[in-house]
Amino acid sequence: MTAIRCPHCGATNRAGSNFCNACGADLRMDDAPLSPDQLGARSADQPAPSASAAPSVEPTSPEQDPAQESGQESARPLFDLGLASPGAEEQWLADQPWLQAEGDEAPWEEGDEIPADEPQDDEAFAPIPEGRLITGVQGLLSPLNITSRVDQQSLVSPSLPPSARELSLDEIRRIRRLMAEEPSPLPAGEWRPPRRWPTLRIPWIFWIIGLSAFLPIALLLGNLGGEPRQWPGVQEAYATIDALPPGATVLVYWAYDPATSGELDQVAEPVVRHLLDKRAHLVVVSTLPGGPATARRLVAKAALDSDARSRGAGRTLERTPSLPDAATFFRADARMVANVFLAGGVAALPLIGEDLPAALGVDAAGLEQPPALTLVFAARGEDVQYWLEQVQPRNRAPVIAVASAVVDPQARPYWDSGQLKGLVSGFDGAYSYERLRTPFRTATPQSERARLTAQNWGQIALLVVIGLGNLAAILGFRREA
Amino acid sequence: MDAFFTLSPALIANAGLWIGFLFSLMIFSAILGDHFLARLTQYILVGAALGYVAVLAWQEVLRPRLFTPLWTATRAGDPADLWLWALLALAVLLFAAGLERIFRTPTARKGSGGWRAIMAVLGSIPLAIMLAVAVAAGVIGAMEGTIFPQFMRAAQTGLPWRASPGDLFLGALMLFITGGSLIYLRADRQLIEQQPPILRQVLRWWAGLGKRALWLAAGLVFARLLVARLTLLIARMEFFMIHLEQTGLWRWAESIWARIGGG
Repeated sequence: MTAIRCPHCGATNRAGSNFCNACGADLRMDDAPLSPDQLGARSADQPAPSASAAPSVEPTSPEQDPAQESGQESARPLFDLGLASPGAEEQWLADQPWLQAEGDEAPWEEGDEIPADEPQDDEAFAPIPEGRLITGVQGLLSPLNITSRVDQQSLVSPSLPPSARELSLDEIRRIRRLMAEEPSPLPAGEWRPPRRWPTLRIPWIFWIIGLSAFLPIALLLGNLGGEPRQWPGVQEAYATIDALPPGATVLVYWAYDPATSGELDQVAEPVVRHLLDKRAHLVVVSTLPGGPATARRLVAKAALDSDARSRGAGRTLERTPSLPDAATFFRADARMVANVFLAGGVAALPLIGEDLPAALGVDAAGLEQPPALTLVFAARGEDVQYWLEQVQPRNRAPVIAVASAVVDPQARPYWDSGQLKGLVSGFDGAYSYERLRTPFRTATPQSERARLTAQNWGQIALLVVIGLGNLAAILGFRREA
Repeated sequence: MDAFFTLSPALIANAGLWIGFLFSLMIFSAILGDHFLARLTQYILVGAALGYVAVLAWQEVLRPRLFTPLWTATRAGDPADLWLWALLALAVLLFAAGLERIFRTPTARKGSGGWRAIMAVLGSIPLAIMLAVAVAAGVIGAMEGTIFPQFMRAAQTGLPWRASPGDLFLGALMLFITGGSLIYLRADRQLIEQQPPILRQVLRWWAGLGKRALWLAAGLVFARLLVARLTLLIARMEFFMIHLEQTGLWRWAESIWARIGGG
């Protein structure tokens, strides 16, 4: 088993390589190959002293070279293919993976890097005759013509004075390696800003924003933003739901799950309470696996409040109990005609528009067709869009979107075009809706106030961080310049 | 000890709340760096979510909507639901193709080998059906639900000649920035360079403005995502601050604290 050692950088290359895989130097031999004795006298760390010398070809595993192991000079020429023996050609081809036809098993997957300096498999190395059968099959590196054929003497400029120092081999190797390598970004963690730059670690940003959201709640700081603005769409959503007859069927597309329920629960809860106040029959469908469970939990919480409201002449719960008990879940189930997970994702949505009972697998008796109203509880703008594209053109039921704040810009054009009958988004949308539902309540619930306060303080902290970061970058660049 | 056992039913009832609180803390502690507890929590959450999906797919879809109707129809000899066998065959094909990918050895190449090639081809049949249905539904839905209504809305709006000066300025600015963005994205650079010098300068400047507007829009998209995550953080903190206070373990800790502090 043999390999070629680059005379310039010392890297090990496959026998038959045209160019060094490490530095790109030309490995094609001008001189006669060296004998094994000459090669054996050259250590791995000491390549040929002259760049014009032939690449060294040396056995990498003496155990597999009986001639060397016995200390005798091999009678076979170094580059003899030995193709004269029967079956040797097939064996030789099998030992050359880069010559095999496509479809054969390769030792590496497409896109893998082929190791250059590591010891190669036995099969990958075989003696190559000086006169090549195929040239250029390596094809991994383009020739580096600038420095690959020059020797030490030519690197010394003739205009330099005689005292000018000649480049050492190490310097030549370094230059060639630098010129052969592709520029690449530094690995993470290696880059350090200059000393004069202010050091800002990423976790600090999260700490600052997190504390800005937490401290106003803990310290009961005031809301800098004051009363939130009521955006267009909230009033219309409230009016549409309020106009529902008692016992109307309302289809709810529950397009969020526990991953985003932190925000969406707060937004959806006032709307669900209102629906329960109107004694609406809820038909809940979700294409998310966690959707039905999320719906059941929120409806149970809202049912508690709705019951308290019906008992207490308009008073709502100021604080929701920790978790609904089994009886509350039972009452919630009674409020929902169906709570179904619809497999198939977006592709299954048209079925809801065509035949709702068949799509949900529920009894059609007592199910109003089409539903009097559709609510889309969406954490993503695409969910509102999918419903308006796949379902609403088929059942023609009016749609109200109840969404997170991030959905608002995407859903707003549908509100403007009249495809949405209402749009409630974000904490401020939920706050406005709750104020419409309970107009006679003078005090703002503590939870709603704390929510808005924390959001405003957090956003202010975010803006401050962005501003300071840009300022630091600008100042740093100017100093560097 | 008595106090603990007295409150234990409440503790058990609120176990989910406390486990959620501890898991939230463990995940949030990743802000201090990557460590075992944060990774463990993520593994548990991913595993539990996948297990839940598997159970749900069986209980809500496969058993009631595929296997039970098939069993009933086969036993009754009713040919109405026998077409479900085709669905089952497609599902088995997809499942088998997935198994081929799961158990593929690292050195094996795609599609090589007899049975691997056959599985790859057969597995592509249900995939092709699903993809074709999704694309067809998506294209038709986009025409019906977005493109036509939005076009009609834009066509009916007309030019706002009677709008206030502020609205007119905003409309003109929006049109100007939109034009710049389109020039930057779509215009041929060589075509711009071939224009007369004055027009070339104007187009370059306009495209530069569009480029900066696109960067600003990308920043806004990122800011929206960041604010959405901030909102989730606030909701999580508020949930724990309000609901943990009502649990038995919290009251137990308060009683212990009162005894220690004498309050």
